[in-house]
Amino acid sequence: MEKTKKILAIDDDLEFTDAIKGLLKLANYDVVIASNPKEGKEKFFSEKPDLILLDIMMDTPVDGFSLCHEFKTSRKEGEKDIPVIFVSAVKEKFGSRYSFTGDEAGMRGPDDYIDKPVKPEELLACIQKHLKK
Amino acid sequence: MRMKLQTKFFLGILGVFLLLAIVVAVASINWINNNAIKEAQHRVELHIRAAWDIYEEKRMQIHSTLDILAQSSEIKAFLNKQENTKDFFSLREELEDIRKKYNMDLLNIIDAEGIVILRTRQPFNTGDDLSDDPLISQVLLTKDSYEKDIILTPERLNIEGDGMTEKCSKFGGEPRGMLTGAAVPLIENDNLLGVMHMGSLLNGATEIVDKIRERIFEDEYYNEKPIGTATIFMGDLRISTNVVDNQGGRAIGTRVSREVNEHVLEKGLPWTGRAWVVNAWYLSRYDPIKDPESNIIGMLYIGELEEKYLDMRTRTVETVLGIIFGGMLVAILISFLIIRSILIPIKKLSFATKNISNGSLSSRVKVKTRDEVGNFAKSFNKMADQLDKHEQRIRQKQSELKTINKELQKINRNYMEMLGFVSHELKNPLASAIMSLYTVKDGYLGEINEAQKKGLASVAKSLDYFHDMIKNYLDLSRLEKGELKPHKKIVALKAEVIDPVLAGFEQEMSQKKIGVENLIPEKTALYADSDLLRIVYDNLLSNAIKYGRKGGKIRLSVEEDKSWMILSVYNEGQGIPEDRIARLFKKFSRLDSPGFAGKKGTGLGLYICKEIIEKHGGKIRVDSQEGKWAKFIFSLPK
Repeated sequence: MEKTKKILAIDDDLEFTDAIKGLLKLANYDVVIASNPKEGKEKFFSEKPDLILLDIMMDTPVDGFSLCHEFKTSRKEGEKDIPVIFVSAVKEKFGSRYSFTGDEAGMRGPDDYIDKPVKPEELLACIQKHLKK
Repeated sequence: MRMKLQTKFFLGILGVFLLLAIVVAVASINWINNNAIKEAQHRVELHIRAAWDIYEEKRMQIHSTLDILAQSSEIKAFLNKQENTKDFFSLREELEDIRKKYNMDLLNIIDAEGIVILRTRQPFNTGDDLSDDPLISQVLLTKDSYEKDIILTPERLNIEGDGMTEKCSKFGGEPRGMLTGAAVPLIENDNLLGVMHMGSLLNGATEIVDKIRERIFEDEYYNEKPIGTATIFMGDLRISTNVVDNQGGRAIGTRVSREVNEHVLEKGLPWTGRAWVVNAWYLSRYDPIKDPESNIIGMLYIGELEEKYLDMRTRTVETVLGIIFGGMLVAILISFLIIRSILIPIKKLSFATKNISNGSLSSRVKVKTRDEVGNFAKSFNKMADQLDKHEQRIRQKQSELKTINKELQKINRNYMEMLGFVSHELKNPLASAIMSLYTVKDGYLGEINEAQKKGLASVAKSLDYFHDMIKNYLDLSRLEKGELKPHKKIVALKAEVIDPVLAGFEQEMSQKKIGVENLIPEKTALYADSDLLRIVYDNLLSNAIKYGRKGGKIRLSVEEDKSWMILSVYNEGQGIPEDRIARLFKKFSRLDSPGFAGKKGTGLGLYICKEIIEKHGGKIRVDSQEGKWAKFIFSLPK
């Protein structure tokens, strides 16, 4: 029997994390919630999640981009690359001018992007896609 | 060709003057030609009369001398053979002295029968019959004196004197002589005793011709050529002349031209005209010389050097042309000054007009003349004043408008920024709401019954509409703030635009059982902004699904021509009423008919599409058959 996958969701919108926590649990995932980047970083190292859902704009100086970069570059030798998926409304605010995949200015980008609002089906499909890899 | 007004005027006047000058010059040259030459010919005709007088003077002299001699009783006595007559030899000596004194070539006494009885030059050569001599026979017949020129045959010349034939031959090469002279009857008591004949050979003589030249032409020379010349012809042969030949001697022995020969010698008519005489052109006159029997035996010629007339004509033409062109220059100078005085104020006006048209409205003209130009300048200045005032008013209004415009822009920008901010801020709670709602509605949190599902579906529809609204308002705010500028690059239409957008609609389409026929080839590439193109397709597909017939078809296609890509989105469904088409792409224009049961539109999607396409340089339009289908077609430059 396959081990239950653990998903870390980092978002300062608690209503949204509540909503996806319920959904993901029902979909048989372990869910860890962090409501700010600091907490997210701690949980990333302590919980060792299989996948990270990350908001971009949070009310802190550290944003999703730098956090993503940190996650992607902290991998030790022999460790598996952890997929990072941005779940954010930021795309439309900035006219989608961010490069979400490229590494402009040496930043490591995320594996995927989901535009808020998102429907349960889409979110689950996206998670499944990246866990299968 | 562009020309200054001054140049035009000047060239015009120059042209007129030049034309005038040419006409006048041609007319005067013509006039001079006709008159000068005619005058010269007329003069030649006058001169020939004088020449004839001089020519005949010689004969008259001979005639008078003979008349006096004829009175001599000694000669009559000699003819009557009276006793007391001087003897033959003393008479002959006396008469021979007279012949020599008058430089005559012959002096003969002939009896009434025409037999020579005394020949002073050849006293032993008498007895020959001269009754055939045209002059002698005339006197014998009429018993009256007669003077005329005759031709002497070589035989006759031999008889008349030793060496006379040779003398004649020397002057012209012909052994004939042309003799001018007279014969008088010797009469006593009405009885004709005989005839006395005296004459002078013209061959080689210079007296007559030189006299003609001296009296008529005063021995003048022109360019080392004699102005006038005279010639006596025996037949067509020059026997006495002062025409100079190429060696500088008298041109004796040369012959006349064929034309003159025919006209004068054969037809007996005088000839007047230009003639090439030995070495120059002469205005010439040839008159026939006749013997007593009216046979033409020679010609009297006089000629006046044409060169003199030609030079005179040239000088006259030069003078006339000089006067014409001098006058023309003065006239042109005057007209130039006049034109300038007219044009200077016009130039000033033109300069001022240019200044005004360049925006310096303070430009005025100083023209003081009281003519039309002066009035024009006054009106011009008035107009400039008005313009100046008007301009100032406009400027004031402009600056007011600018201020207002700035304020409006600021307000609009603030509004749009706020709109963007609010829209975005609405998204997060909406995201939570949608997530929770759909988790419940789609049964992730446990089974719900149909009535609950229906209720939740209605909430979901409202939330989706809410989401559309936010999306469109965000696009609109960016559009109005000018943020949506195309950043063009090569875009793979299917992979980068169509497929991702279609993926977002998968769920909705399967719910409505709508099939997509994607005719866009994998390799189709555009030069466009892929993000903006996604917004266009997002809106057009969203409409196609929203208004599409359940179980209907959506077709995406592309065509290209030389410089355009033509893209279209077709859907089966209710279509668009014709009267709506015009307003379709306007802001807040909705397709929904009042009874429409599907999703509500925001009224912004097509407006945003149109703006994006136009910013790419393209156009959008719609075709539709109401109740059946709708097709949105847009073009993008390649």
